[in-house]
Amino acid sequence: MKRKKFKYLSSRVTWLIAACAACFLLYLAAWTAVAVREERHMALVLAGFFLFAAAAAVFWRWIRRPYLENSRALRLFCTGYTMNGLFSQRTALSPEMEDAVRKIQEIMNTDKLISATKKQAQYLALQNQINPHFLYNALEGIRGETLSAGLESVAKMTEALSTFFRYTISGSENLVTLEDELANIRNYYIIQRYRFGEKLNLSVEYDADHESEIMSYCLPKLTLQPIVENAIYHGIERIIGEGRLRIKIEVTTRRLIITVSDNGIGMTEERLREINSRLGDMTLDYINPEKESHGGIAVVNVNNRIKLLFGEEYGICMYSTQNVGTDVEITLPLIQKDGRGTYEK
Amino acid sequence: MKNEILRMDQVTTFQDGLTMLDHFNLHIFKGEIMGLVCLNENGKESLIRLIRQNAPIHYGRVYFDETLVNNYQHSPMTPNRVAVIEQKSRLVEDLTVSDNIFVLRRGVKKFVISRRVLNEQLRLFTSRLGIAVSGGDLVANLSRYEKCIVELLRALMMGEKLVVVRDISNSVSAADLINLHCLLRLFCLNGLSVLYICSHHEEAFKICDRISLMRDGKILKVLDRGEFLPENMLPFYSKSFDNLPKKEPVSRTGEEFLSFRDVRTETMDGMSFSVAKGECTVLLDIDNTVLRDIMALMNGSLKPESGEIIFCGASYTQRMARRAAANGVAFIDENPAKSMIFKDMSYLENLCFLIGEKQNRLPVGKRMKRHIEKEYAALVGNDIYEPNVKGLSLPSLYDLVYYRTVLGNPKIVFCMQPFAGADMYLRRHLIDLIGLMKRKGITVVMPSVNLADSMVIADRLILLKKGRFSQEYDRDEFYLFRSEGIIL
Repeated sequence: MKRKKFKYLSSRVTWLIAACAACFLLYLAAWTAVAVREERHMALVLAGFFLFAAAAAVFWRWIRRPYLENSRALRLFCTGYTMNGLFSQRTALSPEMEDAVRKIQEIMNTDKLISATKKQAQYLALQNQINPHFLYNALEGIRGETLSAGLESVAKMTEALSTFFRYTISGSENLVTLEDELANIRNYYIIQRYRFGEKLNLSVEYDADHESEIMSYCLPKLTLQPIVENAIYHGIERIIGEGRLRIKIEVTTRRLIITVSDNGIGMTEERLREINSRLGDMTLDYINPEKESHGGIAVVNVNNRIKLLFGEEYGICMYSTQNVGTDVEITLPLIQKDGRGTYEK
Repeated sequence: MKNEILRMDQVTTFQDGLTMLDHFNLHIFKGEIMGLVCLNENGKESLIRLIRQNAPIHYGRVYFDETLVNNYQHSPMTPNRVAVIEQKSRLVEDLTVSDNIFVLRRGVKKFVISRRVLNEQLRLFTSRLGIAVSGGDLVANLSRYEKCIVELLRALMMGEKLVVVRDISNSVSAADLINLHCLLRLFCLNGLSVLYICSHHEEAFKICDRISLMRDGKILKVLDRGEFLPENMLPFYSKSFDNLPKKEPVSRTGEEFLSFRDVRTETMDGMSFSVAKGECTVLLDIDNTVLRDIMALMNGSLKPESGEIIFCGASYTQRMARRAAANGVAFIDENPAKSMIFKDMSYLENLCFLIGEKQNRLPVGKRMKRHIEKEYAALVGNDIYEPNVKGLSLPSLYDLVYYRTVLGNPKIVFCMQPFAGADMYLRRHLIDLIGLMKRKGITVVMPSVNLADSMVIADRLILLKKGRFSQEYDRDEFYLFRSEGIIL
């Protein structure tokens, strides 16, 4: 659709300034001609040109450049690239516009979104359970029975399952230590091993010299489990032969980088583009149960939770090649147990 | 705890409406050699430009030394502390090594410069690193490898934190490449980071700590050192290389088609080797010293000091060499799409050019042109009718050069480093084009400084070392070079 440019104040102001500049230049040119012919007032003419250049420079630095930055931020917001960009503009168009943006920010109250995404994560983890508490008690009972019957493997599995449920549903904290999150993954792995047997192999890699330090860093609860679950069900389950699942942890001075890799079936370029686009979009459409889902909700949910908690510079990116495998790279700020972090939200 | 020297996060850039970098992610730690294997050329140039300077981007963030230096909201256009080493040196050729290293750098404000002090400083520095470069040497007199060292030293002196090494194996010899790798490792131990860009994973496997695979400006996979296995790379190459015909070892016919007999020039020290008719032979110059001379001897711009070249059973004199095309000798330069295309001529005129040259520069008749047009339209499609070759794709330009050579009906073709600088898809295309020449019975000689994909198509490999013949390998012995390139 073609837009009427004069409908917008920006266009009107641009044209007005361009007209003023043209008039001033014309005036300067005429003045220069007179000054050259009469061979006087040259200093004044030069001062006029200098004034024009200074005005142009000021216009560029104070008005045009910030305006372009604002337009870009608004454009990226509209195309779904960024959400924070809208709220972190260096200059505002007017006080009213600033208030309006602030109001939008309030409407999109991030706390509510965080809680929504967290609930979504829990829902995803437990969606197949009818009544988790009932199941948890029942599992404890089964464990007791199997132990008395000498069926240690069943008891071990039951224990893993109940620990997994306890971690998933209990506690209201947003952040947990990496140690706890990995313990949950190991429980989840034990449960899945009963199903997949030797086909499933998990390895966790990190700098062993700094183990205690690395394990004490915090991350949002249930960050890894949905991604590991995806890797197993959408990747490894569909291949013939040994499935390798690797969690690699790297720590830099500002970031915690966790890469979950599998050698599963991978995905097509179109599918990867679709998921990456949703990872970059920062929309919360997937929470709406009426919206038709095409999978990949868990990763998008984890990504949005990270972005809402720590800012847009953190989150998930995914690499995948069909018949090769998938790598999910999670970038988080370094957060100590006491909540001190390297991020500025 | 690691330090990230460079972090590119979801970087997206456009150029002329085309996506150059597509949600591009890359992070390089301090003291790390990060490989970037580019399956095609798309985005490579933009990436290097963006690493050097904080130019505007459509989306994403760039951090340099843990500081946000560029993002989609504001691009300050400031330079980063990055040095780029590529095929073409960035040194000032007419200045000395010490001038390039010490004088041409940011923040030098001295009016009086003591050459002796600079040379001494450089000597102290290089002796500690075990490098043999003299400060007083003119850069123009240095070999490409020595220039690389000077560029590295300059980067170190200027306090650059990241060095981008781009497609360097095309310009330095295999032996020098090993030395350069050792040097890069040494510098990395001192805290320098390296982004090693190349088109061949085998090359990257030897030097890198991690490798990112890029296609169309997008990262496909990041491999750790433990994953540096050819089988991990096959899925990315298979689409292009899996339909290559498996080659059988060939037995030598004994017929010497071209032979060098004890040839001596300034760089050749009694060079003797022979090439059989119809074969494809790789001349691998380990030290990168004699290839230019071989080409110069064959095109007549150089006369041997002693020794003899025998071609088709007769002595190949300088006089004959000056009319190489008429004597059935053709040449294809390195990067022929740049140097062997006449931009002002149409496709057909370009294609017929060599025939005209062969006919004592007489113009090609209209009737013959029509025949050629008809014959080659089946091979190259509508490109043949193209009046302006500037708009053609790179594979089409290569088609033009190779078909033009075939049309000239040569007995032997010298393809100078055919795979240099070519991305994976172009390399695959070149294999087909060279295969076509072989099927036409043309003898192909490929002077190279690295093996790259030459082994896929070669029947014989001749190693040249220190200006002399060193060793010869038949196809059934190519497995010895498995780590160097793709071998079928």
